[in-house]
Amino acid sequence: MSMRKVQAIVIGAGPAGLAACIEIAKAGGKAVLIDENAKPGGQLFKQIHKFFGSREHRAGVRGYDIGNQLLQETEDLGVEVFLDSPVYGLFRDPRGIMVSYMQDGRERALLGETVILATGAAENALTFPGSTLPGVMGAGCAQTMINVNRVLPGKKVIMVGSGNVGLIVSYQLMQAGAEVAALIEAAPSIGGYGVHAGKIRRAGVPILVGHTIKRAMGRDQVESVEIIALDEKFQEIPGTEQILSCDTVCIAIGLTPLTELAWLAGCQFTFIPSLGGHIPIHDENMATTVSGLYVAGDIAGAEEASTAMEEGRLAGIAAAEALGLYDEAAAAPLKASVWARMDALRTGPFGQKRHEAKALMLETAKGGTK
Amino acid sequence: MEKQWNVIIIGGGIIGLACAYYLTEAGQSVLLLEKGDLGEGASTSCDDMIFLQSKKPGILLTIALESLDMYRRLDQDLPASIEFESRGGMVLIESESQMSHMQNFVRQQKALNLDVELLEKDQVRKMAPLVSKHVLGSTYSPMDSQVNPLQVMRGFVKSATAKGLEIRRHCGVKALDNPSPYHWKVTAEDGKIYESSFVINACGAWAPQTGELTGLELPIKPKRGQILVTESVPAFGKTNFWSADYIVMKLNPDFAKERSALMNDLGIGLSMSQAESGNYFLGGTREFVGFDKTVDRTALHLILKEAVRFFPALEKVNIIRTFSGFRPAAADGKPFIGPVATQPGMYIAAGHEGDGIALAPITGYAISQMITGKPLPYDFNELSPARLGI
Repeated sequence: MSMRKVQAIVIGAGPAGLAACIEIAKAGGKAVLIDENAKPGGQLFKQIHKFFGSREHRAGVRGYDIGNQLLQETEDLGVEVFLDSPVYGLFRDPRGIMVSYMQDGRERALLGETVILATGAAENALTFPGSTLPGVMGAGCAQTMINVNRVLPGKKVIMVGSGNVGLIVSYQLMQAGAEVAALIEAAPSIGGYGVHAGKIRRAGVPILVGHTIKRAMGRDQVESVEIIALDEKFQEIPGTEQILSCDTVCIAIGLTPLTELAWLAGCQFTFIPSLGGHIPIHDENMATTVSGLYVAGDIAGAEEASTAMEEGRLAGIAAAEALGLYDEAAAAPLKASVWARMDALRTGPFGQKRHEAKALMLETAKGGTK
Repeated sequence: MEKQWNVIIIGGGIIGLACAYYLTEAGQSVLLLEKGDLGEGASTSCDDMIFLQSKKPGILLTIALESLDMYRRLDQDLPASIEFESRGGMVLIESESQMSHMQNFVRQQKALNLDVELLEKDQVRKMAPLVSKHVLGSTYSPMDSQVNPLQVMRGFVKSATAKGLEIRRHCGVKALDNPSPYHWKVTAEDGKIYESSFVINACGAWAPQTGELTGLELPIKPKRGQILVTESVPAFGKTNFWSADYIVMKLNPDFAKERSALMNDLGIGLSMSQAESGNYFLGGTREFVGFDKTVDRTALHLILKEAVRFFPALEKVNIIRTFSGFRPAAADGKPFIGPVATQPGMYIAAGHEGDGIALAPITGYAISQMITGKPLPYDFNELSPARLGI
C-alpha cells in the first residue's frame, strides 16, 4: 500500500507543536502539523494575560499575541497544517511511524520518519454531590467561554483551586463582568503566584485556604454550594459548613497530560505526581523510548506555555538532527540555548519543583527504568 | 509452613477459573496463582461467541454442545448475570463452490445433533435485511450463542471464593518441584512455596513457559487475533454472522487460491457478533507473530472491507476501539485437557485457540472429574496430552 511519507509529523497545534514545526522547517525539513480543533493555537488564544519570564520568553506579551506570532511563523515557513483532524492511532511500520487520523469524515494515514506528540493536557475533574449540575465546569472551560467565545458562564462564581489557573481565571471572570464569590483551596496556602493572588485579593475576593467543596445544590442548575473547613490532615472539621450562593462553580485543580497516543505507541512511562501523573519517559532531546517518537509540552509533564514552547523547540531541533538536517556540531549549541532558557524558566519556588521533577525524569530515562 | 492444597491452578483466565469453579464445587481446596491480573490474557481480548458451526464434527463439536448446555445452567447458578443468549448464527455464502462445501459440512454437523440448516437467498434476507445482495445463501443454527466472558469470570470468582478458593494475583510461578508422586512444591514470585497434590497448567498461550519448569515441551503458540469494536447500533440481523470463505478454506485448503495472499497471510475470516450493549465485534485475524500485541492498520482495513462487503450499511458506522489477543494454538488444533503421564499430579488445560470461552465450562468440569477420580461424560483421550507423547 503506497502512503505519503514526510520527515516529521507533529500532533497538536498548541505552543509546543507550533514551536516544534517552526524548528523543523527552519532546519529545512518538511513537517505536517495535525490538530483536532478547527483553529490552531491550542490554549494560547484564551490567554489574554501577559506572560512572565525574560524578554526571550516574550514576557509582557499576551498569550494570543504569542499565538498569532507562532502562526505567522509557521505560515511563512510553509508548514502544512491539517485542522479538524483528530489523530486516533499510531501504528508501527517498517517504513516509519504511521499516524492515522480522520479528515472530512474519512480515515487517513501518513507515515512520518519522526513524530512529535504535543497533545497537551486535560483539566482534572472533581466529583462531589451535585458535581454534574449545569454550572459546574472546568476553569479552563470558563476561560474559553469568556475569552474565545465571549460568553459569560454565570454571574456569581465559586472557584475551586488556587493554582495559577484558578487565580488568573478568577480575575478574568471579573474582567468579563462576573462576581467571584469566593476562591477555595484545600491546601493551607495559596498554590499560584503571589502577584496573581494579590490582584484578586485587592478586588475583594475572599480566598479561603483549608477549605473544600462538599456539595453543589440546585434544581435545574447550581444555585448554591456547601463548603467546609479542613484540618492539616485534609479531614473535614464538623460544624464549619457554610452555604454560599452562586450560579457557577469552576474547578481548577490541576491538569493531567493527554498521553493516550504515547501509550498506543508503546512508550515506557513513569509516574511523577508533580508533573500530572503518568508521563512518557523522555531524555534531554525529548525523545521517548520509542525510536523516532518525541514528546513536547504538557504531555511531557504539565507546566505552562513558555516551557511548552521551549520543549517544542528542543524536540524540533532534536528531530531535525535525527533526520540529518543538522549535524551534531550544528545542533548542540541550538539545544544548549533552549536548555539555558528552560532552566531559567524553571527557577523560583514554583519552577524549582518542576526543575527537580524534570531532573528526575532525565535520570529515569538514563537508567532505562521501566 | 504454608497450608497444603489439593490443587494449585496456574493461570487465572477463563479456563483456570472454570477449573477453580468446578473443583471447589467438588469440595477441593484450591489455590490459584496468576502472574498478572485475572483474565488479562486472551479471556478479555476476544469476542463473546459460543460458535458451534465452525467446529469440525468430532470430539470438539461434541464437547462444545455439552459446554453450551453447561452455560445454560451457569446462567442460573452463577452469582453474576453472564449475559447468555442464544441468538443463533448464520454463515454467509457467496459462491456456488462455497455452497457445495457448506452443504456437505452441514450434513455432517446435523449427524452430531447440531441444529443447523441451509437458507435460500430470500430466507437470508428475511433474517438479515441489511445483508448485501450478492450473498447467495447461508447456514443457520439457532444454537449458536454468546456470553459475556468478563461476567462469566466474575461469576466463577465469586462462587469459587465463597467455597474457599484463594487467589494470588501478580504472583507468577518461578519453579515447580515434584519430590514424590502427587506432591508438588510451587515456588511463586511472592517468595513463598505452596504445596499441593495436583497442579493445573491453565496458562493459555503462556502454557509452554510453565511447562518448561518441569521440562515439558507443549506445542502451543500464540496466535494473534485482531478485533474491531463498533459504536452501539441497531442489529444488522437477528443472528450473529460469519463469512463462509474462511471456514471452507479450513476444510479444503485448495480454496485458498480464491482469496488474496494478504487475506491468507493474515488469516482473515469475517465474524460479526453484537454485544448486549449494541456494539458489534468485527473480527478477525489469525497470525503467528509471537507475543506482539499491537494492531495493524492494514489488517484492520481488510476486516472492515470484508464487513462492509457483506453489510454495506456498516460503512456509516463508527469504529470506537481495536484490540488484539493471543489465542493459544495447539499444534494439531485441539486443546490439551488431561494429565501428564510422566508427572503424576500434573494436568494441562490449555491450547483452546479461539474456543476458550466456548469450552471453558466443559474443560473445568472434565479436569475436576479427572482429579477427583469421577467418571467423564465422554472419552477425553483424543484431547489428552498423551496424544502427542506428553
